[in-house]
Amino acid sequence: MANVEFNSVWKTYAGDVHAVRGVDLSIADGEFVVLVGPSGCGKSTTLRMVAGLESISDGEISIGGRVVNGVDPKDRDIAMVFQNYALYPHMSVYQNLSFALRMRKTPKAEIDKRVREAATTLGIETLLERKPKALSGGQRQRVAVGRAIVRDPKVFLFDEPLSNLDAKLRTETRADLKALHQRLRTTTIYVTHDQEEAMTLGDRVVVMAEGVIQQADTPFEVFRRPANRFVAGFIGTPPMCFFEGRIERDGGVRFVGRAGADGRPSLAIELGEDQAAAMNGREAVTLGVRPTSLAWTRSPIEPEASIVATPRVVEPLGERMDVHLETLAGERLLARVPASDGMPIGEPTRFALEREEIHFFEPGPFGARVGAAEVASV
Amino acid sequence: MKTSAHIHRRERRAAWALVAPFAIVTAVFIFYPLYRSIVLAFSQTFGPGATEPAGWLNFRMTLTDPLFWVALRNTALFTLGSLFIQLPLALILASFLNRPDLRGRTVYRLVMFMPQLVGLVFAAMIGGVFFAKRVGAVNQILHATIGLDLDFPWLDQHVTISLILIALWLYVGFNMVYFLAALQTVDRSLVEAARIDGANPAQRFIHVVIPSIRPVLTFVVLLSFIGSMQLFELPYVMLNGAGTENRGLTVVMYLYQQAFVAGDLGMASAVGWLLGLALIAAAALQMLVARKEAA
Repeated sequence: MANVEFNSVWKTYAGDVHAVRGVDLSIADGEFVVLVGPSGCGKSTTLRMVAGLESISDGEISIGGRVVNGVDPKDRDIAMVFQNYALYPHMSVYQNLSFALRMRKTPKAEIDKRVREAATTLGIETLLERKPKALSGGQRQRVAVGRAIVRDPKVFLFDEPLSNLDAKLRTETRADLKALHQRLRTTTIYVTHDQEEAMTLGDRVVVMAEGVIQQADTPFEVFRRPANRFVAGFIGTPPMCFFEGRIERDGGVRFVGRAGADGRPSLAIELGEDQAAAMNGREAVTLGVRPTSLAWTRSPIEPEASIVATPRVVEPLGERMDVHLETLAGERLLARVPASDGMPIGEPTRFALEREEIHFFEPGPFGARVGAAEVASV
Repeated sequence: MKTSAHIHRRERRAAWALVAPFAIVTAVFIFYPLYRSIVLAFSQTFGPGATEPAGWLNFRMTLTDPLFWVALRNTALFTLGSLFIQLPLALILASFLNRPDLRGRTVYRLVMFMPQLVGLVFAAMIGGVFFAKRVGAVNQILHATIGLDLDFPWLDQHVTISLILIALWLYVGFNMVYFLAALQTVDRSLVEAARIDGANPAQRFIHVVIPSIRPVLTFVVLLSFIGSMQLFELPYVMLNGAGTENRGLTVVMYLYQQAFVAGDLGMASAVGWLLGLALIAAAALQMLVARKEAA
């Protein structure tokens, strides 16, 4: 087992295309870190640089204290599970599992022992004589994981290993992988584009975009205190809704959204003391609110923070329902509220905001978080 | 009202009408000649038109003719050269062109493929000039570099090697294109997995690449084998016949001589059938082995 250190790591392709830009990250021994982000964000390239399948253009990666730039993949003591599993099609499951050990000239008896151990761990001991094409997707996935654990490497690398499974199997296998990690405690770097997978699996979630780490933190923190607007919009389903607006200071400090056709803003919210202080003279900011933080209020008393919007479509989800809304200023947003009848489609309706759940960001798609973690409740 | 039987009959007639052109052409140009060649193979022929049944005579005559065995030996040597020199070289070239960091792949591929565009007869003539004594480029170069005798008798004494080299020039690019196409379909993550698993380049090639391209490999070997066994134009044009002491005689050239020089269509048919059956047997064997290895 070993820790993994990234020291301002860059990956630059010909023509000055920067796939990874100055990644700094410390992964502790035994930690399960998930790199997550949209496609093209550099997460796979980062993983492949750890594996040694991509060269490191600048900076250093070290595994267990040893700088591995220029070290051959086979000498890095890592094992990798590929998205398409990359099982050798002409070899039986047994031969697939034992290939790495055979290449390392491990004694036959030892190979046999380790292959059977790994097979038992993963529940594939009855499949050892089969060829990959005679296996189901889930079984292949297990063999691919088996091929990694049979080596007992310092670091496991997973490159979207669940994306070829159907939804049900994906959820099951996710739990299996987590259990496996809790048992083996091998340092793991896991790449996925699925934020839910990232949240459920990782001790730490590293959100990447455009080759840059946007935030590296526990799943809880990444969700509760997104470091910028990108992370806020990427983590959480359904995604956070945003409103461009400005800060007005006449008496109190208020966030005022864009004005609608009648000149009135879609929302205007008094800020608490902490939040007001954090604004620190800012004019333009973006307000973010998760669909689950909106509530349909039928009470005639106006809530402290609210937004008026017109329900367009209602999607029942059983216990809850998603209401697609349009504000007076034409902004679209989603509210996930407890299921109930009588949502007035097409009529302006008031929705309350949970003030503790309002986030503020600098303008722009990567605008940094502004102010305290939570708005002080008024 | 039309009965369903009536409609059925009409559909059948239409089907036959649609198949007819192909069926007629096949029957006239393939099945009939095939049938005639079987009849001829078992007949003694005295010029066109005069034949009489002869049982296995033609086959016996062929198999006891020393010249047939000379032809077979030359052809077999050439075939071995094609399979064990040309194809490995084509595979090595293809592997080189398959390097992901290589620039100008298309240009190299085109250059390697180009000799294929030269007609066989022209290639043979060019070969004759290149391997000529004294003035030929091959001897000139080898004389200048390693001091080989300017009169080294390529076309007299070492015909098979010359033929192998010319065929190499002609076809190596062609086979390389097949191999390159196959190599480009090899799943990259398989090779990467093997790299991580600790396989060196040679091991990766043997354990991952070769099994991945096996179907194309089998196909190219088969095609090459059949093509080589049918060698004819190259030596015939280059040597203006069978060459010194029949060193350039091949099985098909032997067949040609029987048919169109000696005028013995029966013998020629027998040779043709022997060659055909040998090729079918060899191909079947290769397919069997390939299938067994793949399973």
